[in-house]
Amino acid sequence: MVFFFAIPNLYMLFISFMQVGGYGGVVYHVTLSNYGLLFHWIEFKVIADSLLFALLVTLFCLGVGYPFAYIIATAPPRKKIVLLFLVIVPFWTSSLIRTFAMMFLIGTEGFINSVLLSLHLIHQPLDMLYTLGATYVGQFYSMLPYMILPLYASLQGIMDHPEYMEAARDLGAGARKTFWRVVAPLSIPGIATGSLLVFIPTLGTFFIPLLMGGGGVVLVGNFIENQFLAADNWPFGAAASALVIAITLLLIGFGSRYMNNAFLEEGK
Amino acid sequence: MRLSMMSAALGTVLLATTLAGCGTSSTPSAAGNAHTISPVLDVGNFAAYLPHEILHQFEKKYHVHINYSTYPSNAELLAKMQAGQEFDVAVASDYMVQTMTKMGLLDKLNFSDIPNFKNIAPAFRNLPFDPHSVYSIPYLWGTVPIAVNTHAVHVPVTGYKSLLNPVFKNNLVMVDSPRTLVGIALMMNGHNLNDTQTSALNQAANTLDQFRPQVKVFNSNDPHVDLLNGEATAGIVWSGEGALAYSQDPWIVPVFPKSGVNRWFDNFIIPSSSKARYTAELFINFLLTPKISAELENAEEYSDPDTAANPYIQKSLLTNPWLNPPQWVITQGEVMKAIPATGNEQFNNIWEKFKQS
Repeated sequence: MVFFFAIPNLYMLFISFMQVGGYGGVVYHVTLSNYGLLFHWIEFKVIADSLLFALLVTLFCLGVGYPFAYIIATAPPRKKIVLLFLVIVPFWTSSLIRTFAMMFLIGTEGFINSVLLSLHLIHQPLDMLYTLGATYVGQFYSMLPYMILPLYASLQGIMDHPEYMEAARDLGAGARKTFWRVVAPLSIPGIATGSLLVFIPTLGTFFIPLLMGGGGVVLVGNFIENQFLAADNWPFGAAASALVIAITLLLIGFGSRYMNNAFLEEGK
Repeated sequence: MRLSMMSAALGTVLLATTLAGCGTSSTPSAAGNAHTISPVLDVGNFAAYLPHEILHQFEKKYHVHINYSTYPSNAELLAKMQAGQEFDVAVASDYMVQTMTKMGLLDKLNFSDIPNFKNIAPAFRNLPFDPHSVYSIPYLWGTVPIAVNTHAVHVPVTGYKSLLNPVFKNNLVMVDSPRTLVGIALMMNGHNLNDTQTSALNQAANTLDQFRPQVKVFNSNDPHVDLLNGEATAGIVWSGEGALAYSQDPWIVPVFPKSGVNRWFDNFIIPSSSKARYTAELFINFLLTPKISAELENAEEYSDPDTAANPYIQKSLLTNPWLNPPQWVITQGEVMKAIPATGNEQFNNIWEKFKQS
């Protein structure tokens, strides 16, 4: 942990307080200016856009993932295995390869456009690839399993205790009320874990906006990559990543309150 | 546990970008052991830019083991060298050669060990970034012209402004490179592509803004794919990418605008930390042998400054318009020079703003 986590991160933090050299590179003079630059309009907009992007992707994943996880958790055993398998198989494929496959599907001369054109449903190919919408779809698709699996684990834990639901029903609650008053609150740890697992990587994503958004969608991950590789301004890139890590740590601190306590509280 | 796994994953990713930076600055140049061949040679190059077959031939001929490592960009090469990674010989682009020279990272080449330098045509010597051909020898070169799919588009394209035609709306592919595209906007306004004066850059930024609605995709890695699969009907791309598109679809042709074309060079350099200078020079000399140089061009499809290699180069490459621009481009195409970090920052700001608008 010290070698793989602490040292690189501390080094980045250190770099973020240094100056950029006359022709790139790092000059070891202490400065706060890299952090000041983050509040310029372009940089601020990139960070705001990224937060919004991560939030919406998380909500989409939650909206689709929750019903799906619920269906798995309540399915009969054989069907459950099939459904879980459907979630896990894409997990085994590199998300980069899945992204290229999606690019093939939605391209101007891609599979979807070819089918729609040959069925005469459209006369002009639809512009799907290299749009903001494509970036959302790509990120949503690659993140969905990270939402479903913790939700499933959480819901399965609840379903393993049918007495909770029975108690609610005995006390006169209908199916809907049972869900909202018993199942949903008990599944909060799953929601918190899944949301963090989706939100955090999405906040730092860079290859999906690059490939699906055609480079015109600039999120903070792309911005950082650009500072390191194209602009050759490591200190500024390091300051931007320090900010992202700070946001991440805050969220983890906040989210961890909800991640495992609920059941423990229940047991007390 | 989930959390610690997550942080480990995060750490690994960060480490990959950081590890290179953990060392100290490069060691001073070691005694060059004149004219003894080192058993090991550390060669650095851009990724996918040299067929391994050529490396094996050199290894066999001189009984040298080559450690071959690659980097995706000039900036990363510089970062690696600053972090202390030692290359005996490497390949860097035009402006980076000059940056490294200014930073004192390069050794002068010993041309008496590189007799095949005579094969480099005069047009490719004494280039602006190394005006007396002291630190570098061109490896491959190319241009950044306009690409037009003349099968899909029937309007005349003569210069960059032609791309503002409404038929190209949301239909262009552009390489994602601030120096290249802001440089083109500078040339459109009659400035040099290395100009860092604020007034010139402001003009360039305004010019560039007109193009934003036309751009569908920024792609530096494989823009030929966007040209071939119909995502873009025109664009501004590396000549090698255009050549690749042309070889599959000869309707995709280059246009070299009179207002100015960027011509770029990737060059052999010997870092001052090199411990095998003589072997590095043998390696450069070997790659400049006409047959080997031709083998390189045949595989990589860029233009070869080693004109003695022409008899061995595939005919399809010698007739590819992307790789054989008109003479005026060869002599007058503008070449990138090193610009200070403050200038670089301005180029980047213009570019980031442009992409996001």
